[in-house]
Amino acid sequence: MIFSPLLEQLIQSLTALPGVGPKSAQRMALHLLERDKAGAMKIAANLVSAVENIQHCQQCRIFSEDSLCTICKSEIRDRSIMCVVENPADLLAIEMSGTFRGLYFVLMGHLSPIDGIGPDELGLEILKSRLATGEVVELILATGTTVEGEATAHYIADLALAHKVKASRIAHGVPMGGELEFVDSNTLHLAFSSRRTVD
Amino acid sequence: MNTVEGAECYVIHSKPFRDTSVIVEFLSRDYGRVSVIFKGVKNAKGVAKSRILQPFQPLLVSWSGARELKKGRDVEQSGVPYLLTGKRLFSGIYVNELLMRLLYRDAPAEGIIECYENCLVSLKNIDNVEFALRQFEFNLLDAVGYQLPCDTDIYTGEPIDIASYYRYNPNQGFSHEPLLNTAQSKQSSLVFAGDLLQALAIGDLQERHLRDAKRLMRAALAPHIGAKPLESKKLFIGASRR
Ligand SMILES: [Zn+2]
Repeated sequence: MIFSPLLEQLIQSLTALPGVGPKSAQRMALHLLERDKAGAMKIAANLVSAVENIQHCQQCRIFSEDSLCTICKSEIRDRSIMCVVENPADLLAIEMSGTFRGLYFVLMGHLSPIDGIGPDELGLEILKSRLATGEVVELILATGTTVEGEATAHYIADLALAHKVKASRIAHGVPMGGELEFVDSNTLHLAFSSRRTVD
Repeated sequence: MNTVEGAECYVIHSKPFRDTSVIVEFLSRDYGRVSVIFKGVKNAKGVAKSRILQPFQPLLVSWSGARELKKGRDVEQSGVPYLLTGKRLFSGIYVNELLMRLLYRDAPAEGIIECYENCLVSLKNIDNVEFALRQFEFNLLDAVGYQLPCDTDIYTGEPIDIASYYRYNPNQGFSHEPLLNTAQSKQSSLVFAGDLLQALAIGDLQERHLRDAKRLMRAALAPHIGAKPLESKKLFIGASRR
């Protein structure tokens, strides 16, 4: 063992972070100890309080330390329209685009039966009870364009139909600023099948 | 090092590995079920690869390695994907889960990809997915060596009579059951009409066979699926339309 046991432990635990292997973990640990002990204490304290206090919003399942997140609590959001996404990162991307002012539902994954992820694992019971209140008029399905994302969208569209809520799927197609020749054939296929009249 | 170039494959399952890699289970024409790891496909540079590593997409895959987990070298599309939607998509996912349960890695797989492709074609084209699923289950059991001998009575050696009833003896076959009518056959979950057995054997299922065909295939698949029920069946609950 080159490093002391505590340092070894620190390096080992840093490798839990995405994209961090043993080499970068070592660099991070040495940096914090050598140059930024105050920063290190702050990270440690924030990590503990985040892990202890952050749960899922009771309505949309995104991370929140209160029982309702800021979006669900907000009085200026349109409560009649709800967007279903797979991950918090998808929600952030949509928020950044500034085009959507309704509420969200975050699945924290997608249907993947072979991995044992079914409707129960995605909190769809919570979604059903939200649809049952009658507050939501339209459900926008913004799950991924993978086979699992499509299956998830279809499954949830069935739930919406059962509650007489309109379900729509975000359009798929050619990216902005993209040259057609570099677009893959499956995307082109979808772009053609969902073409619209020029007006 | 064993290298395979451009093997005809379909993705039956894939799961992320570490941050940017993915482990894919393929059904291949010549090598059966193969596990391949593709490194670095979940970053900006590899996204084109991960986009085509999708189920129901005919692929040509190159890999190397002699161990159970091969190293993926290249992958390209070799045709248009079967774009399944709604109940057809759920059916395709069910079919893939069935393959995951019934196929062993690197076991011979002659005929399996043909019955898989036939099933995808049917799922895409016919109105009632049940026909495609029952025929696939029957053909798959046959291809992996657990065929249902639907043409002969295992005790008497006589051909199956379409007007008689037969008992299904798991792992053996069918034997004549002295019953008078369909109502009586319903009293035992393992008794089936000769008419159904013949339809399965010649690949000519009709609407009237579907209920009993499902019952028979469930019994025939049970010993091979294992104790855990198939998860994808949950998808069909509530999926009555489309
Ligand atoms: Zn919320």
